[in-house]
Amino acid sequence: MTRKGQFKIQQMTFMIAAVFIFFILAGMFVFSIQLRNLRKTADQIEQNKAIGISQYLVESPEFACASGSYCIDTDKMIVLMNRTAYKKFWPVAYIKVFKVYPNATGACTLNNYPNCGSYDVFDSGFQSTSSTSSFVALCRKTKEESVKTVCELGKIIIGYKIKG
Amino acid sequence: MRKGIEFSFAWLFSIVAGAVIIFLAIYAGARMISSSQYQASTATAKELSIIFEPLETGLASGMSTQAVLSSETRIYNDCMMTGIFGKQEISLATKSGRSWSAPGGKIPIENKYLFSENIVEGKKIYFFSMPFEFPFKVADMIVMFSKEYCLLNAPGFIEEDIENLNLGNVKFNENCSKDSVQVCFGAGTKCDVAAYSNDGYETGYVTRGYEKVYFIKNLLYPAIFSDAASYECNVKRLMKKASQLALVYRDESNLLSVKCSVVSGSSLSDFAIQAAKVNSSSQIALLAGSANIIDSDNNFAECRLW
Repeated sequence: MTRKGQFKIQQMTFMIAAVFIFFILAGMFVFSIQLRNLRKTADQIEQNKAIGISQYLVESPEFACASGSYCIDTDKMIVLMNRTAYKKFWPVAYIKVFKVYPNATGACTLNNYPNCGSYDVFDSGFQSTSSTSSFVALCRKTKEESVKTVCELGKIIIGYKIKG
Repeated sequence: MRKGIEFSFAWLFSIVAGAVIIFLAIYAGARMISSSQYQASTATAKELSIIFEPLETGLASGMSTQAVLSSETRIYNDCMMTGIFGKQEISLATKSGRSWSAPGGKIPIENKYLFSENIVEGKKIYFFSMPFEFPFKVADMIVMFSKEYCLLNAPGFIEEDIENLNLGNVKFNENCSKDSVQVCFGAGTKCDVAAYSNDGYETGYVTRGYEKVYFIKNLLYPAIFSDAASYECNVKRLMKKASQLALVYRDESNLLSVKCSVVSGSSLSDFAIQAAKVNSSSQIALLAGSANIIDSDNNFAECRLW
């Protein structure tokens, strides 16, 4: 083969390699844009789901008051926190409930309940999260002279996983 | 000397390389189309799972909604008994041309109870939900369907329940179209589905071809609209949930028993054990007696748990 022929083959090989690299880079660019959009869509869906859950979780039988009105039965919630069966039940990153008024501090346990301010109902331990919240009435039974239901103002916070 | 077509090496080389590049481009394009189809189906399935949240009934006796999809869609609803509560997986396939795409990613659902046929097909999908109480509220049962249903000789209260849900494709008696699924209450001819009861539809059974499932109270509706496999699996899941809820109420009962009279923790424990053992719809009616007893205890207690 002549030197000219060899040079042409070499030229062609470089050209083809360059074309391949161009396609790979273009493909990677398209792929990264798609992936970013996909993450955005996934986060948006997770957020919508969390908003939906924060609005309707209060009405689920695990939280709802016996009276059925829009409130959380904290007597039920404090025992629910200790039930491991529910660890994977809700499709969210965490569920926390805070007492807003009257102001109170400290994480609630069976030992200090009801003199506490926050309930860590469920936590998946997932690090990358965002949250949505809504106000809710926190009601419990007390006994002074007779048994009555006492309600306080609280806030339910639903954390959801973010991928973006 | 013979004269032939002469290809230089450079020509041959560029034809082969060009063919490879074109093949790879077509392959990558096809893969991208199918993966974007998969992505869209999975995202729609996930979005569909969001509309289950507003179907939480709360104090209402029922809720309904509908989803209008952009193209003909198949929704696959698989139910399985894995884990403590069991779970469901929904996936979607869309029609492109005459053929159906492969189903997208499966979206797992653990905290909802979706009753339907194994595959629901259509552009407009109807949903309604009703609470299941046994004796406390266990969960909302969500029914998904796309076919037109025709209820023949339905008792007044059932007609009222369905009318209140304002479902577009459930008709009664003479208003039905020919292709609708005929549901007979009691005896009837040409019935696709038939519901039987001796006590005003408090308990009874529903037949669909050779399939037979049993119901109590509101379970009648999912029994009519879903296939036997989906129904039986979800009934077992509901019983597992009832069992876990009974344990929550037992703990609450122990917490409140120092303040006021409540349903006894031991009867709730017994109920939880019995509910967890249910593995067929035919066994629910047997458990209804225990459910009624703890419900009546709760009604007379100083502190009502539900």
